[in-house]
Amino acid sequence: MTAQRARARPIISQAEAAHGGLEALLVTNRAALIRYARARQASQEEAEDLLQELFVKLRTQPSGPVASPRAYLYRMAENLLTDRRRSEGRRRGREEAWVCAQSGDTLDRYDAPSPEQALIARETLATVAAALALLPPRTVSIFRLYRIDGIPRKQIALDLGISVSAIEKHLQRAYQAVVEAQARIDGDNLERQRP
Amino acid sequence: MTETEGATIQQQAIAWHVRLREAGDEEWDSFLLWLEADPARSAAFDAASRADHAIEAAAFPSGAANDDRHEDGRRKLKLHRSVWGILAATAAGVAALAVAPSLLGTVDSRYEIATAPGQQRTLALEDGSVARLNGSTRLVLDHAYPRAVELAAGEAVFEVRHDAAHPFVVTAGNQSVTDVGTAFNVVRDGPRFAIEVIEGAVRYERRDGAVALSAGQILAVRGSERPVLDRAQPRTMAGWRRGQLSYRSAPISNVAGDLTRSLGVEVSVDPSLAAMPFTGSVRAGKDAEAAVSGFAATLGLRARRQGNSWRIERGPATSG
Repeated sequence: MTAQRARARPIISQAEAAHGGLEALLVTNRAALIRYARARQASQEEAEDLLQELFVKLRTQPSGPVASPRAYLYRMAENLLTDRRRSEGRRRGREEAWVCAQSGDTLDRYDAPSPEQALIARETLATVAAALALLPPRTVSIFRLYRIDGIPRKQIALDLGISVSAIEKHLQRAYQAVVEAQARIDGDNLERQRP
Repeated sequence: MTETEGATIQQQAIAWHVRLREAGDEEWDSFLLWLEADPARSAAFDAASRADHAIEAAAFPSGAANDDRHEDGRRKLKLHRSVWGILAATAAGVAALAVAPSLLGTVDSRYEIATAPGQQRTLALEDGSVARLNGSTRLVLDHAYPRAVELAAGEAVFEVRHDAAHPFVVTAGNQSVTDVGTAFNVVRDGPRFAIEVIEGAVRYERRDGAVALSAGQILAVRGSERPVLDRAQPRTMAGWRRGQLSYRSAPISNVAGDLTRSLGVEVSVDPSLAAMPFTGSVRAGKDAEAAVSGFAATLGLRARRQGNSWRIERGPATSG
């Protein structure tokens, strides 16, 4: 009994590939999304992987109407990019711990932090929390309203009786404090790793 | 976007990060242009994203632990009725910050599950599907997308819960297997990739083409070569689940790879023999020695043991 060779299949037409409105948009905006990934310093290969991932993820979701479809796709690409970078960082850290710990009897490898990573995570959290505690409570609250509760800047401004640019200044302050705290932590961690 | 006089790149990046949360198409286009003007800007934007993630985890551990997400992966945000009530609550909350046990795992959605060589596991996936993993298998999953799984390496049977509105997709590099509700076995071993459809129908896709497969069909591909189709009885598929591996004109390097995965011992083949075709069955029970030497004997070859590894090579079938 011989195996049948698959006959040459035609490349999927754009119409066939796009069974959802968003998938069609992905096909049309392919070049722009690759360009975006490259601008975010992904390699050409990473950019194409990202696009592939976008296709797959869109396929598993229902495709309802979306207000700003291109923004939606860029946002999705940005989220996937950030997720990947974070995962890579964790995996690298975990593989190093894996090798150092030489734990041959550890069978299951979940995406759980090693004790070293958990310690660093706790310290980072404490440092970031301390940086936030130094900010005026209103700044942290405005961050919460905007970022966690999803209230638009214009609405927060109206409710608090201040300008949108004042809101933006508060947000800028919160982020800047944490960016600086993280830069210090990264510096400290590098120092720690030196023999 | 109006550039603030003297604003540093970091400050500009933060400002963009804030604006993009509510941005429409044109603003995203402008953001792309901003990024492209200087490669350093991307790193500044990364720092803003990291800060965002850290602030969420640090200041709002209970609020940040919710897993409800929009389609694009963004966390679903709860709207409160009273802005003032929030301000009062938050002011007190900041003073009593609880340090969450770990930054990792509370706000991130991606996670991995892996098995050691020779270890088999059955998982209940978040969407109600079941994944049965063979040894040396690694899956990458995402809480935000419960119907998408990446098979990074190894072998698994997927029994997919039927949901026509949400196809289930298994990816392997630039290949994908799409399914609405069915059962299939999939293996990925370096360039080797194969699907056995046990029940229902799936769609295999790659950049250069696609093919629909139904129960009883097998697809095998090596790297970017043209896929090869074959047929087999569904009850013989995913033989690793029953410790009985069946082959039809398969290169013995495939058998070696499958034995490695299922037995948990390294089984290699002399490169000059790797492409030799094998038709038949191999019992892959707990006794690795019996499985490997039995297999070698069938082919008139020798299985030489080196510690916990085996090498199949030319030589008399009887072990020395």
